[in-house]
Amino acid sequence: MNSLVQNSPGETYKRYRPDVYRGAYRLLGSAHDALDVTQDVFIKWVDQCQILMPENPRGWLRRVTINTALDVIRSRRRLVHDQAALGRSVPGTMADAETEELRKDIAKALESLSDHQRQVLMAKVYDGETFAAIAEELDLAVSTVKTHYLRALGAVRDGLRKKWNPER
Amino acid sequence: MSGEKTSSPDDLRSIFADYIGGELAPPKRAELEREMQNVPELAMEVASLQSALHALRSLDDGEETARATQGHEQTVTTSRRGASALRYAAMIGLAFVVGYVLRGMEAQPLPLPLLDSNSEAGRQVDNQPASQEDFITRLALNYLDQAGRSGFGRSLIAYARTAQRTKKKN
Repeated sequence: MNSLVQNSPGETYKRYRPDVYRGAYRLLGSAHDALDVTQDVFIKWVDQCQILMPENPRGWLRRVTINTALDVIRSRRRLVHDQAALGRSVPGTMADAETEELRKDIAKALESLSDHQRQVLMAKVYDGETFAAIAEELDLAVSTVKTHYLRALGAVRDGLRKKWNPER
Repeated sequence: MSGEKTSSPDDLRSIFADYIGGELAPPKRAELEREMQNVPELAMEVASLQSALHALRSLDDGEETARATQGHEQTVTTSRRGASALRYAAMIGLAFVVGYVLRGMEAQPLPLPLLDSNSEAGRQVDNQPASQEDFITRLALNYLDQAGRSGFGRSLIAYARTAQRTKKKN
């Protein structure tokens, strides 16, 4: 019963909610959107638990958080595009326009990565996991994880370089 | 020359990943830094990757993310709280209506039928010992009372209902 309770959706929510929120906020830069993503992620978690309980909740939640946040970014982009087509401007939500711009560029670079590359990058950069721990979590060889890390970092660099340093 | 060690591309990739990822042991780190002084292209490649890493980390500096570690409910804004208060008021109203419909019935634990909009009045309620579903239901009701969590609360209730239906079928 104890392990059942520990793995229950409610316990997982309590334990990982700050991580999920932080992960969403990092990409979105908006508390409202991050809260919405957090709720969506845990609704998906409950649905997933009804089918099959993921072996690694943290990894599963990280993957779904990134993908859900990227979906929000895509829909924002569509909204801006639609509003621009109608000749309207979308009010900004961020105080720091430069950070918001950087966030958008990083999100765009992340979209170009594979699922594994994204997960490796996020786990390493933000959760401070070791390559060995990530390899175990994703069931990959350590060398593969390192390759994903370098490629993902390279893709982010190239994405930012195009925008911030276009002459190169 | 024959005494020199040669590294395969995989070895080099591994060393660079460890270096940028902060997992390279100090002696090897110093050795690599010495090597990079002789190969400026290599140093530039590493520096550019480190700048990408720095850009990624800069997204984690915000005040909001710091608040998130203490509990993101603090970031709930006034408007969201207002919406939550309305939902809370609606729940109380619903409880009164259901209580009126169920008046005269024997007192029983009623968490699931109370919130089931499709439930028929007078439906027999299971009176089974506490289970994981009961626990989740209680948790769901608890979340429903708190700002910014109603979506998850509803999903927990849906989960508990499905679990109960499955149990009944069996």
